[in-house]
Amino acid sequence: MAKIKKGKIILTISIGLTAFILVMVMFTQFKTVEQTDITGIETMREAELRTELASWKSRYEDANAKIEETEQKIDEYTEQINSNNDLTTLLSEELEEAKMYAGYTNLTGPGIIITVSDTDTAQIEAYDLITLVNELKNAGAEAISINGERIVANTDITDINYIYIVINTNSTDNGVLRISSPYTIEAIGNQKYLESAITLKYGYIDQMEANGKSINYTLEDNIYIEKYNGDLSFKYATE
Amino acid sequence: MKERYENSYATLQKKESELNNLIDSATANDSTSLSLSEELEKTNSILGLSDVHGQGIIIRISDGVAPTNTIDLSNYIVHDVNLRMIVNYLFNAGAEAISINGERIVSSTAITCIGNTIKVNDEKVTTPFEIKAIGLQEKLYGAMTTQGQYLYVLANTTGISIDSIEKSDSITVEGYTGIYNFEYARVAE
Repeated sequence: MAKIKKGKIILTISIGLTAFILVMVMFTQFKTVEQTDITGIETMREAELRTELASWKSRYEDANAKIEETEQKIDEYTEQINSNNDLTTLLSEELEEAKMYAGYTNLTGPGIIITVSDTDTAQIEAYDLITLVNELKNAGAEAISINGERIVANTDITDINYIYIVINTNSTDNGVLRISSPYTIEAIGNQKYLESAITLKYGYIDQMEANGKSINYTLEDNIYIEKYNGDLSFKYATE
Repeated sequence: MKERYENSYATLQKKESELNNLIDSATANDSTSLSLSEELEKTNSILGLSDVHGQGIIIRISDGVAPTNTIDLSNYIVHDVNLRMIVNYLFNAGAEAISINGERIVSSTAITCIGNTIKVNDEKVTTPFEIKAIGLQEKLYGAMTTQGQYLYVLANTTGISIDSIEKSDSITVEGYTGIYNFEYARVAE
């Protein structure tokens, strides 16, 4: 009898001990989970997925609108051709539109004005501006300028020995376009998207401030962005 | 959604070539409209809407192979920022047209990273990366290979594999397959 009792006691103790250890492990895990900002990750994933879907949806809608526009153009051209009119007006309109997309026209619209500047402890580098421009493009910016210089397809922003920054190197044959702090970045587009592109948790503003750099922004309804002053024609690329 | 876009884009391309043929045949005998249509074609080319050819360089880079037991693989992976900086320095060296794995870099192009996926023009691109650039060959090549330049530093301070930097006299850079559309910007008077 005593032997059985002893066995029972050992069994109970070991089950109890195992249960205790398990509970401890569970608490440690709960704590770890609590520390990793799980809601942050979830909302980010959701936001990303939504952005991705929204982006393809908007491209799909753009494509359909463009199909309609092209069909309409075909009709217009056909009408002009059939009545022996010249096509100058229609072609000029199309050319104006293409030039607008290329950056050859002054534009206005709603958007964001961001100012980043050097501080006593940190200097703005080309990298900071390249990152910002990329974020704004990703948020659908339709036109961007830095200190009045229009961002176009072949824009570069480059540090020169970390002393100063140049922009749009290929827009001019004489010298370079130097820009210096404070840098004013203007972007036309959806204000909400543009704003959230930089105010996101651990996003651009947080990172700039963590690096000791100064950044401010305002949303404006009537931003004016000047056209590109260079020539984008190809010298080496042909169709 | 992406498939639906691609279907629509294919339809759009058909319509656009129909329109272009119409314009071409109608402007053949009229010098004013011919010069307009030529300028339009040139501007569309600047917008990256067609394939272009010419001299330049082809850069091939890929994720490096990390030694076993490497805890932080980050140093061996090609990041979006690496691609952004390479593109920036190619433009600095006068590149006229650039593509990454077939995705043309245009004025609206963002190169981003979501999780482990890099996207160019919202299209996924993965290692190995082929970056093609048309421009003055020697200048582009110099900018990528000279000591102290970005790609040189990348090759010597990270585990990223720079597979080749090749000069070529006949590079084709693919056209942009997206659509230009302004919803918010208007021409200023």
